[in-house]
Amino acid sequence: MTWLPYAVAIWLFLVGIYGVITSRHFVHLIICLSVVQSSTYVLLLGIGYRVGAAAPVFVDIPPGTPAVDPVVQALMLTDVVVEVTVTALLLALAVLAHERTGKLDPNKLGILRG
Amino acid sequence: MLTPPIPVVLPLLMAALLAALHRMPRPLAFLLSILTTITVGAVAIALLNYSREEPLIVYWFGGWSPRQGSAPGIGFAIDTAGAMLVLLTSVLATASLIFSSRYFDTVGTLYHSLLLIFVAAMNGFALTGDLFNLFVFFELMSVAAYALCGYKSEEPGPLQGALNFAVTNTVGAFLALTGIALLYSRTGALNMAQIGRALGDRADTLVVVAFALIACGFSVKAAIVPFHFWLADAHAVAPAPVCALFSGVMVELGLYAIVRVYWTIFSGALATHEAEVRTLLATFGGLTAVTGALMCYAQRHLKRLLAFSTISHMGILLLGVALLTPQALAGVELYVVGHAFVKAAMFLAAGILLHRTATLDEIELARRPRRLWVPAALLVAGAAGLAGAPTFGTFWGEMMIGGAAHGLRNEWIEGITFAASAATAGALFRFAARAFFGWGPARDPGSKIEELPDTQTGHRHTPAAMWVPAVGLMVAGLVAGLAPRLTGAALSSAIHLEDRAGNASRVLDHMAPYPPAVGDQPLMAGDVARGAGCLAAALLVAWLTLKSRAIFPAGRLRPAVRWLRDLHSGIIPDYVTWVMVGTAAFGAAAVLWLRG
Amino acid sequence: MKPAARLTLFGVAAVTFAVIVGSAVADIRPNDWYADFVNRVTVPERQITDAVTAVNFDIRGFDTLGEEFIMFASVLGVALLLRRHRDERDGPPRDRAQGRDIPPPSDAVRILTVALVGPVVLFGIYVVAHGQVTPGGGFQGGVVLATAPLLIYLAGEYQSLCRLAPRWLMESAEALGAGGYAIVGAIGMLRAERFLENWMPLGRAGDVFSGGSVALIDWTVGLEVAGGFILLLLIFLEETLVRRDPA
Repeated sequence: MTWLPYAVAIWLFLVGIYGVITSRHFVHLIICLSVVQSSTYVLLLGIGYRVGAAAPVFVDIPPGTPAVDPVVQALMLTDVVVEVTVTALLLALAVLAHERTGKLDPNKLGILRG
Repeated sequence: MLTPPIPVVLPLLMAALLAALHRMPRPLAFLLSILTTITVGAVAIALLNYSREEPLIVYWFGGWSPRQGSAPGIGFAIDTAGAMLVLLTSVLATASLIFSSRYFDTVGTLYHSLLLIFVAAMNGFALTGDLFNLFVFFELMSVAAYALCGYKSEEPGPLQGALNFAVTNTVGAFLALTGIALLYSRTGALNMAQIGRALGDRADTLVVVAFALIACGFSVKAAIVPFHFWLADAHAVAPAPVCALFSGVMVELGLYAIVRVYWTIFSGALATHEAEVRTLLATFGGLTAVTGALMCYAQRHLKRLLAFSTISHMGILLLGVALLTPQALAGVELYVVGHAFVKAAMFLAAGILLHRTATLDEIELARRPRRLWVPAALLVAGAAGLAGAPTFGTFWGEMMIGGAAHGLRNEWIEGITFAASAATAGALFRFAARAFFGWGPARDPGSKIEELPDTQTGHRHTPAAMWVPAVGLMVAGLVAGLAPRLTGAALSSAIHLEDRAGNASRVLDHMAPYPPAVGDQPLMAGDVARGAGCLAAALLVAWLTLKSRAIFPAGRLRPAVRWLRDLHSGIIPDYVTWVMVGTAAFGAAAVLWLRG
Repeated sequence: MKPAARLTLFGVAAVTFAVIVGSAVADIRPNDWYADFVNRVTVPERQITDAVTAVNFDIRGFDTLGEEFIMFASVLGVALLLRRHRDERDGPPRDRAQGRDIPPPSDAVRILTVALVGPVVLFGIYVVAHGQVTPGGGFQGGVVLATAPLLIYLAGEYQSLCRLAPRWLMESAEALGAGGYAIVGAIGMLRAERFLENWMPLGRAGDVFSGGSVALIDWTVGLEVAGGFILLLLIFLEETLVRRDPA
């Protein structure tokens, strides 16, 4: 079953991109980007997992006990918080686009072309 | 050693300070920002000087030095190429800041903070030796760029441009991160030299797929076809000084990442398939050069025209990178420097034009041509630079790339480079002729892009704060090509960059291999003839177009160009589809031909 | 492109992508070097029991500085984009949707949220301060701290929020946090060591004040994250409630 996280990661990536491609609403598109980002989290955590190991916190277990990979967890946790703010930036762009053009459909903005 | 973190930490600190004291008077904010970029430039020069004795300066953050050949901490691996990029960023940023100091509509200190963060990220990107650190600076660079792109948020255009930019580049970042995760799983390391060593000299599916994903992710930033669609939209709407930085350094950094990652990590594992890598990269490069040139010709908005010319020149650079020899890489380095100065100067010229006439549309300007000497001279000189006229960096770059292509009997690369340079330069000559002198009136069924000026007041003359940096950049581009032993320095820098084993032992084992001395590549009459010939071809192309009435003549090509223009629809789902198509194609080619 | 063409192209690309990445992952055997190194080294060398925090703020602290500034840049970007433009004015806060009657918050909501604010702030401080001991740290704690003003907004009105967490305070907090992290790193440099070298006394593993400068960095990051999130909230609320379109 160790292939499951990787399968989920690939699935999430493709489903998220599918959502972006078929999107008709900017907020939907931006949330689909978050879905794509989650695929990278699942991939990283799947790589870091060790069967039968403990969490890498040595407060109540002696140092030296087998633990899962803390490096991928560290990479991931900063990414999660950062992703929220980047999503906020994209949403701000979407809000303004709606205010200026009255449209929220990515297929219909149509100012820059050719 | 105090200096390596400064190019990153100083601008970040100053950005935080400026954000905290956001009611500070405008001249003070500009002064502090310009002082910061100048200091970073000075540090870059010091690093360049030092790197002449030590080919690779290694700096470990937090004091986590390598243990037994493995690197747990994050390290900067500073070579001549990286230091050169930092210097380039500082010079361009200083010019942009001076350009925007007089009339630019800054919003408190937000402009300065974002620009300084942008500069810091680009510097970190150029200097780092750690793969995830590269990704972090890539993200930082991108986020600052999205905000700066959507700067003129009163109009709907910049918002669409910024959204296209943001979504496409975010997808690219995810692709790169997936590749990085795969490499981490195989080698358990994030330091580039360590990964390179651990990968050995064979590439199985995982390694090859990681290469494809990372290359495609960074290709989005580098605007390689078919990942390039965002660039024209972003450049058409971002303020001119910001565009100067985008086209001058940011896009080139995407290519730099591919070069770095290939040579430090994959060159050993893919060594047996060098010819296939060459073909793969050259195909994408050629496609990019041609698409960029065609689209460039069909534009009527100056910044969009310049954006497509950037895409075309990125194709030329990728062709040079694809050759995989030190001579070609040296040519690429020189070309990047030459192109950066010339392109940045031209974007600043566009800013001056916008400030004076409130429009950048070729047809509209042609109806009432204004004799604005400074932007006209800059655009004409810039076009000459793009065509590879002698003593611009582009001339030396093309000379070396052409030499390398000859050596590998890939003359078609030279041919495409020549044609693309001539076409993009010709388009600029055409624009200058129509807009400033009113030659050859024209009509074009294509869409016109409205643009409000970046500046508040004073449209009746061009302030010194605007034309001095623009002219200064162009002159620097010309004069830099006169530096002695330029090709020799570039060649040694390229040889060091490509020395995977030597660099790894410098980074991980604290050992210092003796750098070999390299001579210059001699200047041949044929090279000067080629440079002059390309310039002449560009002028010819421009003249032919001016005689006809349409923006893009050549009737037989018209349906093809129409189809190409329709592809650039401005619709994000289309762009993301092409990113996936490009990744699938690159990945499939890699898996089929680069394994084993 | 027509949607049908788009979908077909994507379909082909997606299948290819899945096959390629799937075959790459097929015989993935993760390499343990980095994980084992960190797990082995955090307690003896840095007295930090939470290995994830050790990686984040000490071993790969420079990355986290970059990530923190990504947050900072995004918030600056939102402030830039949602600024008051030349053709807009501000008015008294009201919901943009016309003709919608907003019921005042019920007593139950008021009591619950006000009662929760204290514990939430305390919990946030606890998470931030204990980052080097148990799972937590600046990022997580900062997010928890940022929910406290949100509770106030839910309980009272927008104006209470503006009085208790004014914009200038949040901007200063955020800038202080971001700059503070860089300064902590720079102090390491001034002591003739490397940037972000751990220069404070290390303490004993399991104590709150262990890990040296990691304890300090937890606070700067917590300040920045909390300030950033609250600022985002304030900016979006201002845009929705206060900003008026040109008449």
